[in-house]
Amino acid sequence: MKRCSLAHYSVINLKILFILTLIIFAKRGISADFKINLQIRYDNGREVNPGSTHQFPDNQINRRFFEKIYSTERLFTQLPVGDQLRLGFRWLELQPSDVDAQLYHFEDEHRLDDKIYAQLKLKRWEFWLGDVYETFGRGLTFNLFENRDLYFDSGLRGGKVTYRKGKLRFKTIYGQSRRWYLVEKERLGGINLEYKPSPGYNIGGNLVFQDGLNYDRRYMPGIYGGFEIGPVSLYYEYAQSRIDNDSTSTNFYLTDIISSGSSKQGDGTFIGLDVYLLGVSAQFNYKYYKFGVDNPFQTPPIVQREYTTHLMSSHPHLPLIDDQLGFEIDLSSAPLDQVIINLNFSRAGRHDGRKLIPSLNEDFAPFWELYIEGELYPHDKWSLKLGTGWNEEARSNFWQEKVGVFSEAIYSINNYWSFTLTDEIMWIDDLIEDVKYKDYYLSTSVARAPYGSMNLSYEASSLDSDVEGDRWLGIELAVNITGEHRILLFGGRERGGLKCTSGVCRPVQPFEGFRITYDGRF
Amino acid sequence: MNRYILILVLLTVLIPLSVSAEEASTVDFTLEDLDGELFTLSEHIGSGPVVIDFWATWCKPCKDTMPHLQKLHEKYNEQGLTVIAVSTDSPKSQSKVKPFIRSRRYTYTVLFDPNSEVLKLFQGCNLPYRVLIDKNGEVVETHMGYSPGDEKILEEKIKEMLTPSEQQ
Repeated sequence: MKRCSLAHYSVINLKILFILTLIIFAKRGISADFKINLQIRYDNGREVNPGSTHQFPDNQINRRFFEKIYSTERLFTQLPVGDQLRLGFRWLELQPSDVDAQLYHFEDEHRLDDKIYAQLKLKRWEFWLGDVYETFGRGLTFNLFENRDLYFDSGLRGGKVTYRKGKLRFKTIYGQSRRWYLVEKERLGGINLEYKPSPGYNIGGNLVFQDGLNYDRRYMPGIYGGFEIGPVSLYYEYAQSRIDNDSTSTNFYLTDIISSGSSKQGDGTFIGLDVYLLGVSAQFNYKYYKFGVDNPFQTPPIVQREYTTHLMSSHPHLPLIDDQLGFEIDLSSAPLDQVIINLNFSRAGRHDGRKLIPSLNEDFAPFWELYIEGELYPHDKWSLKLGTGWNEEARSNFWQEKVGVFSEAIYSINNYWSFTLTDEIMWIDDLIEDVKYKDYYLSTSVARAPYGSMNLSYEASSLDSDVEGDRWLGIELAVNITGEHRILLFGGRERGGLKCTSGVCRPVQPFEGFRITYDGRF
Repeated sequence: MNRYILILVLLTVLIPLSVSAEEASTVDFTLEDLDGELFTLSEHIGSGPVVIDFWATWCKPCKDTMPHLQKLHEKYNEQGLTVIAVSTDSPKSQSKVKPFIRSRRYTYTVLFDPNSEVLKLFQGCNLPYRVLIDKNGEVVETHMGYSPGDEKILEEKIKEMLTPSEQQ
């Protein structure tokens, strides 16, 4: 905790002010159910330092990570001006680990105004001042979001105005982002106009402007539209990225991701077709992205299955918007009351000329995956999930084929006690290194509703990695107190991997030690 | 520092203009359902308990809860229970909601809360998050997370809340 004394006192003053504000809030009896959310995470142990030249376990360094977040939001409905006023705060304390500080240049943070916002609804108008998030269409030009696990936050501090009249909606937003993982400080503005003639139909257009503080100065116009007729719905979105000058991105996190020599001007298309017939839901999604650069304020649909099983999700395919096309077919159905089946196939790759189907040639970074899952509920006491996945991915210095199978069985002993067993095996063929190996995952859990559960997990690999070893054993205790407080205690070893959401990914280092997570309201 | 003082003053000034404690205990909202029609909570209060389950297509424990909600809906809907699943999927992933619900043949009400405004209204933070409301519109219980067996405890509470006459 490296604080200068002046900053330290300033933080204390802010804390006092924050607490005073909340006390005044509560004492006046704004609401019988007034609550403050508190989230705490504390890690203490050792983690792999990716910069180390030593072999496991000598490549580990101490990990001390602490994060505390207070947040609250109140809604006021009887006002002399306006229909509704919403006020929100979030107070953050963060002490990153040495690896996070080294990799991402994170520092100790004590921010009373980590998030602060006011939203006023006034008939057809809605004014939002403070920290704002927004998505235009499906995010081809603009999608701002936060994910604490990924250390990702593309939100802006600024303002947003929305105007609605009948079937028409107009939005405008302007603000500045804060430097964080994958995101640099940048000023952005955008406008969006959408017309909804009837439920299921919409057409819209938007224009986003990036000022060029730390990225290229860029304009991104886009259009979208969709309709639904009976069991069929179709959505289309097209966006362009127009660069004002040749300034180069200074975001060093992206250097691994952006392909060198990419065009600085590009466009992207997304098409989504959904059909529901004979009890089967079929989704067909198609992407044709050639934006030329990766931009954290644009996160279009990834067009692949994102959440699968423990082993298959640990090293997912990283979608790229600078130059990638692909498609996804997802079929799901419940042929019987007790049976649910899901099949997903996706394929992606770099552009091969003007071809509309991704090439499987290894020069074009191909990826494909087939995933099938069945859920069975044969009895009130039993439920079973079975699944299998098969994928192959090639990119520079990487070419792997993986096949995995998994099962999960839940048995309810009585109304309160239940037992869960999950196991998974994955066969990996590393075609670059010419090595074949297997990964295993086994997890058993006993739960006592509503008080919590205890989980024991074991993961092993037939390949003894120089970086993270070959076996990982962990135990986790989850305790629920009155349904409003949840404590998770973890002890043991965790394997590293890549965590991804919405196409944004963060490498997670292997960890051993203990972790306390608290999530509650008071 | 001045801006924090300004916020404090602003809040203090606004407090007398806000709702009273009694009025605030009944939370109301209007959201769009799967077909784009508007659903207002207060119009469904009065016939019996209401279960509001906040979920998202990317949340595995949320999806584990849903078959049990369907069973509760089938079992107690006629006796006055209203089950509402509120999807907090962003506009980007909203398109996955309808196929997911239809393919699993869930018949309870599903609503969209793309900016998590209603979730925050009920002081929710993480998913899954469940709110149980009685027939007077009072929030009687909130619950975060899901462990197998939670649905049995919920069913017991619902049975208690349904009056003997409503249980036939």
